[in-house]
Amino acid sequence: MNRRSSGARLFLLPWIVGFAALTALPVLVSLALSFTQFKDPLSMNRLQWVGLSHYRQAVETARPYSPDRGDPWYWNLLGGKPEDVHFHQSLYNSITFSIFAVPLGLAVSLMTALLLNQRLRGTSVARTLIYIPHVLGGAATIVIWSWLFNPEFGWINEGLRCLYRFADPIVRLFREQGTADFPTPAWLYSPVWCKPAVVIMHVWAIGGSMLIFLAALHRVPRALYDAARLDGSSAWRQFLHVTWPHITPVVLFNLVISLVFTMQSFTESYFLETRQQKDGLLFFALYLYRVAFEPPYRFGYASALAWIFVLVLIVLIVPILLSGRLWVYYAGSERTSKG
Amino acid sequence: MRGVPYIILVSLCAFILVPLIWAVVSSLKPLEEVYAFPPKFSMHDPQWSNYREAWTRLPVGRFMINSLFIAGVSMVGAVWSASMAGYALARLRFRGRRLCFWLIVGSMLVPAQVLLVPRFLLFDLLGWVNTYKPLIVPAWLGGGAFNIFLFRQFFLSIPSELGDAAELDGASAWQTYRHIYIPAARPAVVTAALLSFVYHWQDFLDPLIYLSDFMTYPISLGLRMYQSMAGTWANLLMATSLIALLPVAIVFLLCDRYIMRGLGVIGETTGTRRR
Amino acid sequence: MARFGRHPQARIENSDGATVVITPQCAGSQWQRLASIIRRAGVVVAVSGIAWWLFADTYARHVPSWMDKSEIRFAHFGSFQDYALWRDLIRDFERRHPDIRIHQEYVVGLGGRYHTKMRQQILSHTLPDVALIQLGPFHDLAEHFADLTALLPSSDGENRELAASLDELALKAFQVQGRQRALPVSGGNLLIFGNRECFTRASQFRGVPIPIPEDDWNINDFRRIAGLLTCDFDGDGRSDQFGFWLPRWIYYLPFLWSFGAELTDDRMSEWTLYGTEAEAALSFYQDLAVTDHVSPRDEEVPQMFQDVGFLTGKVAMCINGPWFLPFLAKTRLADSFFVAPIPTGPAGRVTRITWDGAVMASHLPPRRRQAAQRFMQFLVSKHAQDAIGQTGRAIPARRASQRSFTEPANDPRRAQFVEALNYSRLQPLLPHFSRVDRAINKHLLDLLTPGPNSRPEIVLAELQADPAIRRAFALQVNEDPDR
Repeated sequence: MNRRSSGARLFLLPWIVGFAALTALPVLVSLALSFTQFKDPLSMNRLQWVGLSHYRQAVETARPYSPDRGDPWYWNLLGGKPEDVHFHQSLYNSITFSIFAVPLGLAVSLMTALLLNQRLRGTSVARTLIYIPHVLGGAATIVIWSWLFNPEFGWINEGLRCLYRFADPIVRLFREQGTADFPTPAWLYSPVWCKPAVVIMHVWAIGGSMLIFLAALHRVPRALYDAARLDGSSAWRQFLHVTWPHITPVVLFNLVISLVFTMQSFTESYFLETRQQKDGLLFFALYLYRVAFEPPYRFGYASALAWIFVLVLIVLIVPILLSGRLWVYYAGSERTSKG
Repeated sequence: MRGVPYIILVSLCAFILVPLIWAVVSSLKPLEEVYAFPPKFSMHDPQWSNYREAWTRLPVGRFMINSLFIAGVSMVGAVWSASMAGYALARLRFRGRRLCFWLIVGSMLVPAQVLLVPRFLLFDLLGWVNTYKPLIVPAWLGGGAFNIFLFRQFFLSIPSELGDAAELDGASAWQTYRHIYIPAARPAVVTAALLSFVYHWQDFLDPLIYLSDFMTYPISLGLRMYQSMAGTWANLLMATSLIALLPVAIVFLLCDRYIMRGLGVIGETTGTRRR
Repeated sequence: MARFGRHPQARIENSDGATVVITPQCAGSQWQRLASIIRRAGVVVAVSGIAWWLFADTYARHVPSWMDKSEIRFAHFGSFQDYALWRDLIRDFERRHPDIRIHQEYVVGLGGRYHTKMRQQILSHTLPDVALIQLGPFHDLAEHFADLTALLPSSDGENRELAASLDELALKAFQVQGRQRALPVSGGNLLIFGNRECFTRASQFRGVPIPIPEDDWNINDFRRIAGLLTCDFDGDGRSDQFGFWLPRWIYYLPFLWSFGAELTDDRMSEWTLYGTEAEAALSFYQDLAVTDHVSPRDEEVPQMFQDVGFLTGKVAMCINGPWFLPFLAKTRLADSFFVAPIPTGPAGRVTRITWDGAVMASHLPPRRRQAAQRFMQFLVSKHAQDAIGQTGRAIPARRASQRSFTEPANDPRRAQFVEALNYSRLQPLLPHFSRVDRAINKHLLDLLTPGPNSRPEIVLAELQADPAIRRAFALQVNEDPDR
């Protein structure tokens, strides 16, 4: 077995080098940086120890605090106006986006996968089509979406206006006021509607998790469904007792992965920011980029923010992983590698 | 009742298609019509010349070649290193295997933001800023936690008798990996290749940070430049976007049939629980 | 099945059912030994090639004098037309100096991205040897560039001539604490652009003639004309053509100054944007977009920038610099746009000018420094300056070349810009410009969105209290930038 053991190290060598140099070391450096700052950031000179002051600066709030009507509601939770308003706002934006985008995205992708698993005609075409946005993603499609969401020339608002005109006579039967003059959302030009817009974009590109669901569904033994049908179970009960237990591991996997991904979204806000949003689409990743890579290059502070972000991520993810013990069903049989 | 699934499916497909149709339609319009109010759905007199102009106004061809190079080289490296690591985790026994596995899974959860600054400092020390190395080399060193995980799962799902037979015949671990497992894992190879190609094709932040010369830009960054340089020539922008989407779409359609089998193993996350 | 140790090869069926032949290495014959030597040599070559590829840059990064060749990098920003201009100039230069190679680096980006990139380059020691830079960010970075004082007033005739021939104001603008840190290359001031087609359309629609602005028009004429130009042709309640594109604050400076408002005092020691003049200037800004509504608000022209807004006839007038000229010359408006001076305000007529300069990286190894100096001198030489002037994108810094800007096309629209040099002034150069810029834009937006804060005096108070602006002034007395 010795021979194989040294072989294993060789197989893992690229990953070990990469992990050490590109993950472990940066993690340590970043932790160390978060307690320091460059006195002269542009030439990266005069590194000085600042202790916890970056962390304090990030969470500090101004006291006493007299709430104002225009303040975001979560300032009350913090107990005052934060010193670094943008940090809190960006974190809030990222979390809000994830909270809406992840469950919605998973629900839609699971439903789609269930539909595609029905062996209907044309499903392979539909599957390819639904997966395509996932591969296309990125800058090009964001640009396209930003145009669709254009409040004036965009198809989405034009579609809404058509819908309003169509519904107008029907609504008028019951109400004085018709719907023809309903306002259409300003989408990316509004502090409120910019987030739903990005959530819709996210749902558009759920192909990845959909395909993972679908692949898992394919692996559910057919015999179980046949047995359930013989027992006269309804479709819902079949889903609950046959399908769901088999796909729970993938649900957990998709949940965690897409949570991590959405929390780290960068491109959306980099491309779609407008000043009308009043920082409503300033995601954490973009703010961090700005702190670190725009003057005055506060690398130390940026590292501290990143670590606070890690804490937030842990607070979000660990409960999910732990709760997995309650609802994730692990199949009894597994193939282990030979010893 | 039987029609309901079809209705849902068709409307889903429509939802997926609308942005793409919009892009095609506006890439063929003259600029004034893109800004027409109310928007025009129809299109008379398509301006095919938009594509020629989009192609020539910026060195789009150059961007595409850059992207192909970055994504291609990274893809090869990612498949190579991830499959090796996945093989070691799935089929070899050594001390620290569980630790390695959990480190890989854990590194999937490390936010890129934490690594941003230190990596920049590291690449600066190496003198790699303003070269392609920061974009390519990481792929050769591990190839992404997700890909390693994918390969591990896939190798676990291959009946181990195949490898055992080769080993009994005295094949080395490398030979078993190279000649038995890799050919058997073609769906995983294709899936990992596609995913890493797509990832590097779309990557925006790294080129933004590490590249400065225009002629070295990949298309993802070039597209953004189009936005800022050509003002809002939406029609040309759309034409360029569609050009940028084309290679990815082609690559995807070529490997479509493997992906289902490749991703299918993700579900078997039972891996290390009882070991 | 054969065992590997005893037989030269083994056949194994893999999962696809295909038979795989595995040949273990065995040095049976001479040929095979030779082959294995060649293979090993190949591996060595490949590994050292990869190592070279990986680490040559690393060495060069730490030992800059290694690879000291007459080969330099020149970075610039601008439009794609600028790219072509610099490409041609570099070719010219290389013809004149066959021993020097220049690598052109074109950095594109919205607004401040070029300078953000430049800072990243300073940070990572990858600053180009010669680079173009705008005046605003220049002051934040000046200490990182080579001192060019020695390049200017030297005993030999050529250089003395050079110092005297460049625009004095421009030359001064690039001096920091008595040292010349950049050479001015070209500049531009802001004037009003108008679209004759829109004027005609509006006069026909209203049935009254709308005059093209005279050279001596004032702010009231401007307001009246902009009002007349704003038309709702199809009567759907929303204007189809607006009078004027509401500029961002930097382009609004000429108006601000014309009202007598000032951002800072002369020594730039405090923020002075308050008082009745400032309120009047901001009220006017608000009136344009809200009260008179002769300027479209962002949501009325979403995803349009000034250039497209002007080009598509959505607005009839806008304020812009000479770099707009070559752009318009290539559109269908080439013959139908005009350029008018800034309208005279209560405090007279003022416009904003800005200069682009060329900087050189400090601490270059000798041969590269020499090449870089040659190229710097070339950039301000008569030949290069004439070429810049001819494109019409900017006013050359060399005064003798300013004729090349107006003359060849003999275009009265270009002449307007040279004439306006008489009433052009530099904007105050606040430290941490990009953040101040963002802060001012943010507060000005309050004027355009109805709410309790949309009053000029409140916006002015908010500006005074803004941390970014406060920090900019605190910096002057060397306060820690981080707090």
